[in-house]
Amino acid sequence: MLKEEQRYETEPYYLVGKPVTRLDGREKVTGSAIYTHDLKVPNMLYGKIKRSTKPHAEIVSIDTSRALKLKGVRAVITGRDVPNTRRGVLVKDTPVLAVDRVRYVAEPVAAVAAETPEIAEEALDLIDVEYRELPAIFDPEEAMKKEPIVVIHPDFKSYTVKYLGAELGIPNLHAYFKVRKGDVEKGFEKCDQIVENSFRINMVHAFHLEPIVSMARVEPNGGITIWESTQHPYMLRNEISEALQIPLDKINVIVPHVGGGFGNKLVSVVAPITVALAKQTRRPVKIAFSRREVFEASYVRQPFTVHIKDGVTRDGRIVARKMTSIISGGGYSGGMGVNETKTSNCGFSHYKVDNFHYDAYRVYTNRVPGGPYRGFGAGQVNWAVESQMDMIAERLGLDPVEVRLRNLVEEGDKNVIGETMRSAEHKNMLRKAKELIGWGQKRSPDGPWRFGKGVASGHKWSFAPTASSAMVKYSFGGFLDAFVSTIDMGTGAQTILAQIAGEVLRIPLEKIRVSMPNTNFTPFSDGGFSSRQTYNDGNAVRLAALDLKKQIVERAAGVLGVDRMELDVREEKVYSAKDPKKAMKIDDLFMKGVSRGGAFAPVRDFIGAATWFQESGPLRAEDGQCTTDRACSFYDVVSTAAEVAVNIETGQIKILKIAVSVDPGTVLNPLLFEGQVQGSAFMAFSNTLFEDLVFEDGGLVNAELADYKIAGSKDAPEIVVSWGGSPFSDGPFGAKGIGEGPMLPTPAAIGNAVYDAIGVRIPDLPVTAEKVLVALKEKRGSG
Amino acid sequence: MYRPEDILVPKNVDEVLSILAEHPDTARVMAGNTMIFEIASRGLAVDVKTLVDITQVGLGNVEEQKDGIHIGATVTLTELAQSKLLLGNPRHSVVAETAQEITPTQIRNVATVGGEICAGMPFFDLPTSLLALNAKVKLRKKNGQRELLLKDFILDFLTLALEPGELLTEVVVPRVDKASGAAFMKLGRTASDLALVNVAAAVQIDASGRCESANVWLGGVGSTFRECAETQKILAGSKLDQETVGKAAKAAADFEPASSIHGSSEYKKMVIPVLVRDCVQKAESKVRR
Ligand SMILES: Cc1cc2nc3c(=O)[nH]c(=O)nc-3n(C[C@H](O)[C@H](O)[C@H](O)COP(=O)(O)OP(=O)(O)OC[C@H]3O[C@@H](n4cnc5c(N)ncnc54)[C@H](O)[C@@H]3O)c2cc1C
Repeated sequence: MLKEEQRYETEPYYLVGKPVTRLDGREKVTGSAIYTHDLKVPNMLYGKIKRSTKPHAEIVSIDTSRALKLKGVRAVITGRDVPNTRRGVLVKDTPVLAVDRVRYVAEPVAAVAAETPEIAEEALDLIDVEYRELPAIFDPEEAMKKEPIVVIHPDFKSYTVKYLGAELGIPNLHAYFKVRKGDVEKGFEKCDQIVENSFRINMVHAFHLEPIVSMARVEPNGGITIWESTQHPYMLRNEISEALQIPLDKINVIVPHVGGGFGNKLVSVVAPITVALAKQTRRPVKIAFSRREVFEASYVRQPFTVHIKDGVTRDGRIVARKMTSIISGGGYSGGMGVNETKTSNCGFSHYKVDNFHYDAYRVYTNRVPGGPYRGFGAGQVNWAVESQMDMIAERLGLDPVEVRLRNLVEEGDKNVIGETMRSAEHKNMLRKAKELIGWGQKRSPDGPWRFGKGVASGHKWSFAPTASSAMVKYSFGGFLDAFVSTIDMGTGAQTILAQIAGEVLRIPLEKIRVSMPNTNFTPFSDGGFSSRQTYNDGNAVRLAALDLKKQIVERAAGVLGVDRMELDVREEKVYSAKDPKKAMKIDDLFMKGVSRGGAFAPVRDFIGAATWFQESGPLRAEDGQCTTDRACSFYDVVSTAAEVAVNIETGQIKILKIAVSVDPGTVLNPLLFEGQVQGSAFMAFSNTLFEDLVFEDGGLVNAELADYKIAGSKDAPEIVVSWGGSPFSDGPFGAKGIGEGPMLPTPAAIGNAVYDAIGVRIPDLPVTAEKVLVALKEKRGSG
Repeated sequence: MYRPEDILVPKNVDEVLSILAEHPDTARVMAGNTMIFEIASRGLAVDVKTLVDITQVGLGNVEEQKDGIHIGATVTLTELAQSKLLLGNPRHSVVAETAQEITPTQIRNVATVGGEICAGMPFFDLPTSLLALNAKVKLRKKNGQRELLLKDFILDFLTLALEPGELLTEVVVPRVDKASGAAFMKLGRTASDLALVNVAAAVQIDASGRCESANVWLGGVGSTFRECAETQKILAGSKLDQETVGKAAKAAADFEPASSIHGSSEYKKMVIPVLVRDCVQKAESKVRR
């Protein structure tokens, strides 16, 4: 029925595609936007977390008596003071506070609530923890052994898990994903060349500007309110319910502005402790991580070791590909970090290969748990695959772009996981990136500087099944409120939703407000991750707005005495498209003056509601093949081309230009589109050249900004963004999400450009000046 | 977190000196205040109860005097970076250029010359340049004053020849009448990074075009700044031809630089000759003959 309401949804658009500035822009740049960090409520206590100093140890005893005696301390809790639960998404292995055993340095072992942060800090030093050290595993290859030096979760069998791979007999394995298609061994026999390489992708941090923070308060009715900088309020509510055994209806999650997340804030590493302290003290408690804690004790991008063996024909076609990813998971499943085992498939599924074989193993190691990081495991694998594509091209003496074009998927193709590709503009995106970088033209050396260009392709799915709901209310006076649980962590999601709602009802942006999440009042959304909100929350808002429009039009049809199919709305009016004289103000459908200032729409106020549900078929455990023709919401299809300068005397790399071409379906807002794409290309370039979490023995040695190097504005290259493709039929006004795509191919485009410049390849990220110089020296030495 | 008990804002140098004399162990000077909390957060200021703000005591001028350029202790890096007095001289301009390389604008706007020196960090940039210029520091305390060569003032990591109660009031960059030029170069991981290695070189050229003397200093290579004595020796008396400069630059790496997670000793040994070579050549190119 809503289909009928879409009849006027045509171009020229009213708000869609317009470069409107973001709704939250002014408050954010003037510093008036309120983040969780800014919150303070009466009677609030400050929580601090006592953290493990050992990478792997049994807890012999925890003595809190000295801390409890400190003046101003209101509670000290350990794992014994909270329900003995374990949480997680696929593997429920994570306690609220460590019980009996710690599995990484900085794991929470106790927590304090006190009148001031200083007192809480002081109390931490008064908690005495006695450990008995256990052997620790840092190397994922060691963790992969059938008889490893130690089993990190000896009670794994007692956990609730969705665990594949039990038959492999690897005791530290806790997540496994495989793809089987055709017959790789036969494929290797048929091919002309075998190209085989290994790549390592290091551990980095998402580094959102706003540190991890949460505040919790026990309400007079026994309910609990949580304010948190989170990417998924509904999941947080579930997690708290499970971890602390509190009924769902007793938990309300409110999300103020979020200062960046990038996956790191998807599953909370703090809220269960904040809530436990609030329950214990019956006073509001806030826990704000220091920057050091963010580095040491919130999820990291998990390190991958990727091995690829390819059988290729002389003309560059991949006949067979066999790949393995070993993921160093850290001490726990890392919330949704464990899902990267599967989503890593987006790192290779943009190539069509008839004989394909993939195994991804996630093993426990005694490091901080790895979690989701913009790209969800696909970035790590894409680095390997897209470096490999250039190595194939070189071996065969072919152009790297050409080799890619011969293997990329096309519209309607079945990819390696058996899904039918839709909106698959991969080849066009690559051609566009190639054009933007001036492929084939090479600058000549300038002093010690050598120049080179590289390309890489990729795509990132937005997962499914998933759903989002929305409500949209039209008020007397002509303004619109959208009630959603959408997270705007800097992406502009709220503005996009306002544009969508405004487009349907043709209401100017100034008259539209979009709520922030409050799980008591705003409807379900599956969270701000996997590039999903524009598409899913966007579709929900569009459908809710259509539902609202239908109500208005039906009511007006009665008043105007015309067929509702004739009617459309625009700027607070309903009018007949056939006879524009038949028109009325929407306000006139309201009844005024029932009480002071009151106005309502008789019978029923104008409130539209809708749920968008994106279905998909699961991937089969035995071969990773999709059981239907659709495994996800859509693919964010991207190619990156980069031009670099490399100094052969110092190894320094300057990125001169990055060109990113993206197929976003419809661009709902060019400013936000460009900002997202540039931001993600920038983030990718930073972690390609600079970022690295460095450990000595158990502990992180660069848990602060002086030592964790991140690209700054002075490092920024020119980033050119282009878009192509056509509207995606299922998206709101044809839009897909674009939050993650450029994260994938950008690193390999840079690595390939470095190779083009100096003939040296660094297979292990990051590509530092030192590695480049050492490799150059070795190359000179050897030939 | 570090919390001082008291912050005092005296109005002249004598007041500062009295406060320091009264509390030699528990009072500490604060200038731009960009390092002091960092130092304290590492547990290196446990005894410090009182911070003494010295930004209002009239130490904020850059002036030319007979013996050279006098830079007040609280002159900010931004002021240095823009100083016409410095920029107009092919040798002294290196001080301004070095300040420009300290990239965070917010830091440059408040950080001071005195703080750059007295923080005692052997990888900071300004000391390297000032050392290459044979700079001196003027020190005062309640009943006395003295002058030291900067190289005798900076002793080691976080260690200065600063006595209790003493205040650095001025840096003097000596005047050089010969044709001269100086340059600074820095290698960091990112474009706005602390130095992995930095180098400053100053050369003086005689009438015949020979290098009369050269001063070459390195930062970021150990627990304190390093004078490249062998390099200086090779350069002195030469025509600064490519071959000699190359040889001298190589000699600069003839030691074991300190390793860090940002660069190994081996890497530093590979890049030092490159930086020194380029820096000496840049210094030479600035000489007005
Ligand atoms: C983000 C950031 C980036 C930076 N990047 C660079 C860089 O690229 N290159 C670089 O070289 N530096 C860099 N720095 C260091 C910066 O330049 C120093 O922090 C600054 O110069 C210190 O000066 P201040 O006036 O703020 O010192 P303060 O913090 O006020 O003082 C530092 C120390 O010096 C003492 N002190 C200060 N003045 C005097 C005096 N007159 N007499 C005696 N003692 C004194 C104080 O007691 C204290 O112990 C950076 C710093 C930050 C925070």
